[in-house]
Amino acid sequence: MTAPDLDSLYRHHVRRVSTWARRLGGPTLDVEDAVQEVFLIACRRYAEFEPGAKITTWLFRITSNVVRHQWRRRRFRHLVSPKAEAPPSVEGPVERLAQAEAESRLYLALESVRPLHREALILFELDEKSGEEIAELLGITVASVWTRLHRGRNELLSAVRRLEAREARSQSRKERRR
Amino acid sequence: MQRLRETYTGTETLEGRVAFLLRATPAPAPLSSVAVERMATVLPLAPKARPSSRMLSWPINLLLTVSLALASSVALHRVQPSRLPVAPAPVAQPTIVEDPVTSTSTALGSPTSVAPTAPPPSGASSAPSSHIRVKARSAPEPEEAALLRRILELAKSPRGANQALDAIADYRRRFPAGTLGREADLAEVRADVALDRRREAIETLDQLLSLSDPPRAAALSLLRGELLAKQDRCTEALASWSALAVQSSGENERLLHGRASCLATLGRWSESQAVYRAYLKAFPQGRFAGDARVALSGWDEQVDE
Repeated sequence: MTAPDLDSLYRHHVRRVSTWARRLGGPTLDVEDAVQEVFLIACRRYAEFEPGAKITTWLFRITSNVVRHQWRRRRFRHLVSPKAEAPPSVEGPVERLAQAEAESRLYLALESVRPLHREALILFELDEKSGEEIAELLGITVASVWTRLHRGRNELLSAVRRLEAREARSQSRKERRR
Repeated sequence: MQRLRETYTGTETLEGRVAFLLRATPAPAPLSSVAVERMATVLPLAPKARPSSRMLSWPINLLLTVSLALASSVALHRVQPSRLPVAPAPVAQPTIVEDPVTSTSTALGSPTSVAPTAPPPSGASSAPSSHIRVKARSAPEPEEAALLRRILELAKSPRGANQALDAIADYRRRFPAGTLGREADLAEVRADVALDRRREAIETLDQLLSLSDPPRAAALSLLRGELLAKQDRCTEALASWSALAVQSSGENERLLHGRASCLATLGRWSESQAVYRAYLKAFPQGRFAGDARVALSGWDEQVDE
């Protein structure tokens, strides 16, 4: 592939990739860092891209792997230094603060959802993609998308239930101390 | 299937509360033009060719062992020519690949000890036997062989793997067109695996397998698939294993187990079940027989996709 081709690949897909990265990675992801890594890999491995394949499927797969990798690194850093990765502070209206809190809670719960299911769930529930669009992006059948969504949804509900139970326990401990 | 965010209102039920979180999550802000341009300046949008030394193709253990043995002998010959019982060092040095390779848990098991051997006669390259292939390569410098020997020693253990990677970088800087460049790359795969740097190991293996007719491609494809599976990239792992003709019983055992667990991960239960049964039939006392029995016993609870 020539330099102009790579340049047009980048310019044509960079915003799409940044949206995927942000959606998959949540509020604490360094989106620019992730997008840069996605295109570094894409540039390096473009020779392996099969001409008949879908470029968006290929790029989505790279994005998903990069985000997963960053997620793991972030979780590790969080274990080492829990305060280092707090979500960015939100200044301004109360609504924005509520939005940020809801988003943080959602992504905290999503961490418990298996990666394969999480991707499908995010694309369906947050990005409002159709089953066919998700199947194309993930390179799987529509039937598999529905299965992943079904399982992902159950995992998310369980994760939120656990999160709420944990918060309730923490709240009651605080009240007892008072 | 309806979206949760559209189906549930109110926060009395768990579904309603999850739907609220989904609705409240804002759409991502678009990337600014400034950021797009800033990244464009950093990215290598003009592709760079990888050095030819990275185009690897040989089974790692045996190649490293044999090449190093040959390298040692040439280095020794250069330093002390009078001690060698053979005629002057040949211009071209052969790389010998034997079949089959004994596999351990992965294709990157510990290398056997490296013993110096005398270089074969110059006519060897023109008359390969049925199980030995000989390829002409120029002789390495003694320092090059010594450095690679150190790399291999370091790459053997997870503790030394980081140092091995540093040493490989040093090797590439000092010998950009080194004769043992391929072996350095193979050592890099070994070090990456030891350090659990699966993505990097896969990239190097991709380079290995990108050759038109890589020898022992089955062992490398098997390893590549296993690394992909460990990264939850089961679809790719299965593709890597498709139509794979492994040559040893150990490899076949790993292949069957890998296929079965990947199929289960993807929810293809009936296929996974069939592969697990095939595994138990072939390896009733195998390393993964316990896993297979546990998986088969819990199948009634699963639903097929």
